[in-house]
Amino acid sequence: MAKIRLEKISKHFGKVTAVENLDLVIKEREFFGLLGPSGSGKTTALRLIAGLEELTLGEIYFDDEPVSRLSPSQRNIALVFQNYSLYPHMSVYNNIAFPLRMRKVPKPKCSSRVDEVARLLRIENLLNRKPRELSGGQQQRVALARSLVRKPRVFLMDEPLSNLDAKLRASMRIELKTLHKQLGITTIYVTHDQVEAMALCHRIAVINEGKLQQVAQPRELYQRPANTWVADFIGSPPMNLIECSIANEGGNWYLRGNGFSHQVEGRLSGVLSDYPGRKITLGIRPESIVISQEEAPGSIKAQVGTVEPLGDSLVVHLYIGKGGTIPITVKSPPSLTVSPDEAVSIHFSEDGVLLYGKNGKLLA
Amino acid sequence: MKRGRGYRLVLVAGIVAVCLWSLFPFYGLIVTSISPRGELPTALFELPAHPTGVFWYEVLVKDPLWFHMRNSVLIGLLATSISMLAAVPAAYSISRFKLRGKETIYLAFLVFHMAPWISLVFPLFLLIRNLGLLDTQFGLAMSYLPWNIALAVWLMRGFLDVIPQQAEEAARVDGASPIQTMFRIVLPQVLPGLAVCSMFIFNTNIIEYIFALTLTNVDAVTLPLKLSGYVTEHIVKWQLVSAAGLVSMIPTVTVYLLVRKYLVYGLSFGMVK
Repeated sequence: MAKIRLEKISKHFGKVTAVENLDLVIKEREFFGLLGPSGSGKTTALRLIAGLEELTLGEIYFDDEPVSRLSPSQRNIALVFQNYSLYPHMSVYNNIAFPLRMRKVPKPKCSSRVDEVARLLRIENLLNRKPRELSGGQQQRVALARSLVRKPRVFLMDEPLSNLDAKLRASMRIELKTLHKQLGITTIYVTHDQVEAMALCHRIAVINEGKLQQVAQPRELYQRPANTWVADFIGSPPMNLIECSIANEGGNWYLRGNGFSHQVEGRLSGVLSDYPGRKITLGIRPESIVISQEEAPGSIKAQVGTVEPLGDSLVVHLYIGKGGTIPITVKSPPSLTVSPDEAVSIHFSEDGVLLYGKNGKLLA
Repeated sequence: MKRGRGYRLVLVAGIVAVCLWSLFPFYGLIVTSISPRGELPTALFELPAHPTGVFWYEVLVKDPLWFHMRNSVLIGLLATSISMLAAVPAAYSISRFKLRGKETIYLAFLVFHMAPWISLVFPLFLLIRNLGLLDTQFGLAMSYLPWNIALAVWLMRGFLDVIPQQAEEAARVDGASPIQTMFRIVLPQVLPGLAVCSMFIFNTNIIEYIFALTLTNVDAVTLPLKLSGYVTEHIVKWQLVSAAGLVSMIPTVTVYLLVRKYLVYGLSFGMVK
């Protein structure tokens, strides 16, 4: 169990920068997520922490002890790979015992440890099999057992569930969370799947093109994305981002686009009065927009495009503005009945409105 | 698609023809080895009228081949094991590590492998003589190493390249040293490759003639040399050549039986997915 601190770490592969100036502190016992699209550098970051890649710049600390010169095994980390990486020629027992044998743990202690983790992961009956005789989920358990057997300080997981089918993934997710609760080992979890990250992690670092975009708890990440990239990346369907210009008429603040206008009230008008520019981006989650058949003061006229009935919700794609040039996605309760090409009104719920400045950073 | 009787018939006929063609030399050897002096078969499937065992008696009892077979096997084992010990780590390094100019080194092995043996005879003769190793099993075995190692590096790299590398990273994390990783994780996965490669080198070495002719004289004379001794100035003792030829297949067949388990897989490695 350890606290991990990444201090301005960078990794270059020739001219390519995989990780740039990454600063992070991962608390003891934390379940920490590294989330990003493929090629964002999250796996490289994990491999740097593991010691499988050498840092170009910066330093990594485990409990304030610099580790960048230590080998992966000296760091006493455990790593679970996406494709499990079991030793194909060894039995499950020998796979799990391998890290102990490499540490010259005496035989009786070794076998009692293997039995212990095998029981924990419910694979006692598989110990004599070879990896190729196991299902994907079983292989994953063996991989977990092998990494847990020597009581690592830090647990690193590289997309451990992405090779499993959807149903198994969901149940392994719960198991991982339970396991973490039982053992309390500091865990860094790399994934491109935001649902997985949100479900598992205490805090999540969102990474794009090797750069840190935001570190936050899942709820905050969803409700207040730090910039337009994160806003677009997190959530499905993604947040609506609408380019607007700012107008002040009779002391009231308005955000206006091509043929639509939204009056801003409360806390946001303060932000607008301080904002130096004229252009701003309005962000709003699909579920923060209400569709109604009747026009009300302050609502915006819209034309329904397509409707996706998803069972638990209704995703409606609409167009607003002059000539219907601005696409908007709305997530409604499933009870709503709208049909394509119908003319409706939409209303932005004030709490859901976020404002992003010219550089894409969150203003309020 | 269902194939008709005609297709099957042609297929079977083809297989039988290939088998006959391949097995005929063995038939020839056997028939020749039991033909009396002056009565060598002249027609294709002619059996000897008065079969005799005198030539078998000669190669097995009177002037036995065991001494030469022992030399051949010893040299083969020595040359194969030293070559594999040197070539496998080399192939592993080329396959796994980032080394400046490693492809050039690899290419050099390949080119070396193509050099005709005869061009190496004289320099190797000088080298082995200066080392005082002429007419020793060790000396002859050493002379095979350049070709063996080149072949083994080339073959083993192919086998090593196609096995996934993540197991090795896992081993690194689990605390295995590079040497431990090679012996405990990597090599067990390429056993078929090791088997095929060793068998190929062993067989090539024990039937080798030119180096054996140049570098040995009495003590380290191998089977092929002994066999060539039956070809004299005045007469070719075909019956002895045949009987001895059959006997000298024993080591090869033995090795084949030992590694048979891995062979089919090894020879089709990388072709089946």
